[in-house]
Amino acid sequence: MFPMRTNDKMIFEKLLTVFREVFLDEDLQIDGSTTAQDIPGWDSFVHVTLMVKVEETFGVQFDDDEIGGLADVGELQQLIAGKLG
Amino acid sequence: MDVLLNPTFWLLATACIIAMRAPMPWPQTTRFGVLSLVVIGVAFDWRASLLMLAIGLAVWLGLHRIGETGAASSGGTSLCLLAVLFAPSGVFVLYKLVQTNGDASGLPYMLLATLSFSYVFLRIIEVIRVVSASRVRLLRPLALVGYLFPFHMLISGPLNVYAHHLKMDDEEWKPLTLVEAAKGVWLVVTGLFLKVVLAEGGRTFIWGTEAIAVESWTDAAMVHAYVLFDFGGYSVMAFGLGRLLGVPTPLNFRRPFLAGSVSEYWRRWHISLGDWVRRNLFTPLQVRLVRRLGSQHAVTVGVLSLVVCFAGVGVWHRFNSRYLVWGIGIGALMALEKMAASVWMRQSWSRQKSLQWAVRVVGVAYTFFVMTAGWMYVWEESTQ
Repeated sequence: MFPMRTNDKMIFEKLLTVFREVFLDEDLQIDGSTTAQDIPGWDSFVHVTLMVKVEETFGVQFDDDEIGGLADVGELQQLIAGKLG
Repeated sequence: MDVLLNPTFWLLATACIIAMRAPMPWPQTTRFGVLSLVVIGVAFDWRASLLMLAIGLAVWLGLHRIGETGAASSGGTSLCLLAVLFAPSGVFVLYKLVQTNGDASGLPYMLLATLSFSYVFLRIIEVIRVVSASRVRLLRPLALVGYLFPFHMLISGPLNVYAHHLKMDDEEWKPLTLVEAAKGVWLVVTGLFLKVVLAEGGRTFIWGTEAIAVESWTDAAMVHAYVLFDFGGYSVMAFGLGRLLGVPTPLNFRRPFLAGSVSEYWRRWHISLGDWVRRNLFTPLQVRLVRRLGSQHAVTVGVLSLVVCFAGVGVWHRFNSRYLVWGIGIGALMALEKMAASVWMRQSWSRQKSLQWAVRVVGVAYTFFVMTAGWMYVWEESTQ
């Protein structure tokens, strides 16, 4: 695995905070390959809440297909990085 | 669904597989559109083919116009979008009303049914949503007909994804290998076995030559199993045909009777409908409401969105109060399950394996009971 750049690291740390807040688990650990299957309770119902929290945190906006089409946390991280430019 | 038991259909399907898998200069999507028109015209009625072509062209023209005017005039775009969206919606409502209350026979009804058949209507909604968001290209007219009226998914789905259908043109041509062909044929044969032997054989064994009647819990449980084998068998055949044709065709059933909750049931039963609802209704509605009201209202919004979406699924099946109540009930049950699961996951004892296993067993029994009761409620009326 390649070391993360500063920007990626900042995004990841903020993402981790959002995940812990949404899933009400202060010990929750995620990485780029984490998917909905890996976190109990991450279903379509919670997914939207998670994505809106991410939007609020990073000041970005996703479209419906971006929200519905994410494969894992790594893809979400890349999407945010792309939107932040 | 009996068309899949028609030898003419299979002869045409075989010809289509050869035509789809042969190296030709035409894009795969266009080729499939033309083939779908031919199959429907020969196996059903040429008037249906003509109507499909007209509908495809009308939807294409509307969406093309939106693409052209999008940058220049937002007012014109909105008007086109409303026209493309409300014209099929209006005809769909008319069709459902005639189906429920009127004379559901004759040429006018056949034309109306072709125009607004439930699955076609849902595909039209998807293509409008995806293309009007301007991120995905609009297929050419004949290719769009192939997406809206795929001959092997026309009667009872599954609901194909527009973005997946587009990808057919991006893939490099490759011949059908023997292994792929064997897998496809195996799926078709499995589907036929489910449909003919388990569904129809079982039905004849239980009800004989009489019509299916839902008068007791046992009847309801057996009809539930019958529909699984009938609809599931048909879906497996479509899935196999899709693999042979090289046309993206989603899987529609995945052991639904093993579902441990109503929410899971809808991820295993008629999967492509559940996915369609998630893509085109639930996510867009929930996202907009949560953005507007704030994430502190996410749970309320989620519950509301679930109930609204499943009420929609109910009336999509049939326009009557029973299906509406059924849909609202399913949505409300799913919302309750989400809340119960959220409480459950916060308890440390919920991580005990033996307890999880016990909950799973109870969940499977509960889901089968609840879903059978729900289906019994709506089928009772239609079998009377």
